[in-house]
Amino acid sequence: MNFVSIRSRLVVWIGLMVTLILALGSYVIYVTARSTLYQEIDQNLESILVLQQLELEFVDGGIYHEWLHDIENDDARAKTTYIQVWNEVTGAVTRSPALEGMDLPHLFGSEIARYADVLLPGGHHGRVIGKQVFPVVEWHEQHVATSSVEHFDVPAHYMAIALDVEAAENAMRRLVGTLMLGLVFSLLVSFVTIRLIISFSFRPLERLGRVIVETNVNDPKAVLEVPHDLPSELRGLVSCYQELFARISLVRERERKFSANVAHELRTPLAGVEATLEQALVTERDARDYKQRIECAQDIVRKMGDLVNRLMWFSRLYNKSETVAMTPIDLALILDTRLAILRGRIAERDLRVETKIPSQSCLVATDETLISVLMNNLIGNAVAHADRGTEVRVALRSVDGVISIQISNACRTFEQTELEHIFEPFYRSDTARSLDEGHTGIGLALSQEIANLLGIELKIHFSEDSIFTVEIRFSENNDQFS
Amino acid sequence: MRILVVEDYSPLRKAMVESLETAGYAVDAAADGEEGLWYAQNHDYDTIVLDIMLPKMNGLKVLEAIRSEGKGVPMIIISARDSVEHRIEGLDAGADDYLIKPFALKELLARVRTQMRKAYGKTATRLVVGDLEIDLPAKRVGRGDEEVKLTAREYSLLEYLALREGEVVSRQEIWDHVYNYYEDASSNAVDVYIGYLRKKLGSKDGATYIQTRRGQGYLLEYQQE
Repeated sequence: MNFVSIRSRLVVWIGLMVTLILALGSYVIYVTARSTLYQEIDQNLESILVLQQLELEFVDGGIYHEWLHDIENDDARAKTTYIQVWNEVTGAVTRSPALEGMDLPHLFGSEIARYADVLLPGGHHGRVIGKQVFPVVEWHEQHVATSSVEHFDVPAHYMAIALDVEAAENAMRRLVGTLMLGLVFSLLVSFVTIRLIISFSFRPLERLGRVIVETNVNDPKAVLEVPHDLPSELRGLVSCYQELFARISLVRERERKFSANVAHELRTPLAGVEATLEQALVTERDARDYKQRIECAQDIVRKMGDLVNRLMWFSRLYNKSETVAMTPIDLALILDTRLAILRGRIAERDLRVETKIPSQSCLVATDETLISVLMNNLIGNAVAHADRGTEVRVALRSVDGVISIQISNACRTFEQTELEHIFEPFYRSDTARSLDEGHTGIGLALSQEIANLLGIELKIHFSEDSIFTVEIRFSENNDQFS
Repeated sequence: MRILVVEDYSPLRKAMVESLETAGYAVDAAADGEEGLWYAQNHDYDTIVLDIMLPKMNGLKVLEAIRSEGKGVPMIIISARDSVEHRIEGLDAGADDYLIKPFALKELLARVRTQMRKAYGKTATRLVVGDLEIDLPAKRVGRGDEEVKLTAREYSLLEYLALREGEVVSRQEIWDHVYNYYEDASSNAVDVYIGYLRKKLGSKDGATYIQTRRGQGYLLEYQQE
């Protein structure tokens, strides 16, 4: 059964179990009562049979049915005594008048008494006992009544005696009625009780639900106020919710921080534009001066546009809404192109570039645009953050079917805690704003998202000799040096 | 009046410096926290305009370091962080004002003037010395119905003396508050500008405004012969 409501499920299943138990109990009561009653009846029948078989006599070589004589002389017995005797030798049948010519069942010719239910004249239920008997031999024929047919040549008879058990059957029917009523009543009481117990048991869960609903997950200081009388079974659930709330809080905190950082990163250049233009309009200037100031404002706006574009990229990547077109891309060519684009910046910073890029193509299945952005970010970062006059190293390798790119540069010392946050958007280890230098503070975060989307592993390493290395590892069997 | 601007974003820094200089202030500029702290520790400023997110040394640390030296120079924080918590953090660290980016340069100038008036115990925006009136927001000087035309430097010198009206101000103090770090003025530049100012203010009915205290400096005080 598939129930939406746990409460209904519990009520039905527990109710069914209780119904089954009560029905079984009622049945046991019925069977026990019936068995006891019929045991009494059967014992009674057996006693009657013992007495009545003595009334079957063998007199003067003939059979005398004294039992019948006794019945016929007693009106009351004549109406209520049901006896039938078969002469097993001659086949003669003798019935009591109450049988009104009807046959009682000849169960089988055995010396052991057998019982059966019958329907008596008038439609009453009866219980019958049947047994093979031998007529009692009178003293003048034989000294002792015996069962040995062969010896005394007494014909075997079969005697069946029935008792009207209609009253007992009526009593059993009343018992069934009483039990059924009791069962129905018990079930009703049980269902109501079960429902009340379940409702009562669910109250702490409902209270907890209200507490959860009322808890403001947007409030970073919000905690789940656990009711003091919460059952132990719900503690685990509460722990799960507390963990969930902590995660939500963390995500909210990141969102808040991200929003604040975005606002901050945009406000500063915006202030620059506003101040530059305001200052330009303070006084009359010559055309050249105006041009310079407008160009300055234009440059800031261009950088802001770059930041906004990167934010859009980041947003699309973060929300997995960027489509990826996997095609064979030559990584060697991508690296050469990126380095060529950055040649001016490299010279400006007096850097040397050492490359270990195979002369042949290195094809991987990846997205051309995204991998270009990734390489641009990582090589651009290395060039921007390398100490002036030092070396930037770019190596492309394929070892055991794994393609990797290492980009290294010498720079200031990084603390471990800084490295842990380095992929966070707008994380700045020295609080410096680098938009002025053409950086947006989102490059590494963007790179991480691109790597996630392309299934590339991105690792950073900072060595003791102050060499910062970014390693990009492509998945196995993706290499095709050709 | 001398102002220090500590801001790492060069377009904004340049615009602020130019604006303040146009308004007649002597301005020094620093692009990071350490440089800003060095300027603040080694020179007297009438106001410091300080960004928070600075390379090398956070603006709040610069602020705390300056205050820990007992310097009461008015400090205005300029920051893109606009939350109440951030503003409280800045003001509690010892800032006198908090300006959120982006802002109009006119507002920055107004706040600088306000801080200067407060620093020198002046509440009015018009300073009156005898029949001389100095309109601080408009940076205009009038005597009676006449406007006295002054250069930016002359105005700055007069404003400083007016803010310290009744006090003898030494040449060094004038130098520190009217010239910036890079100005290579000759040793008697203060005396020369005092001379120019006296000439432009002139004397009416024999009244003088700038008094010389030999061996001590100058005093702005209206005196009638």
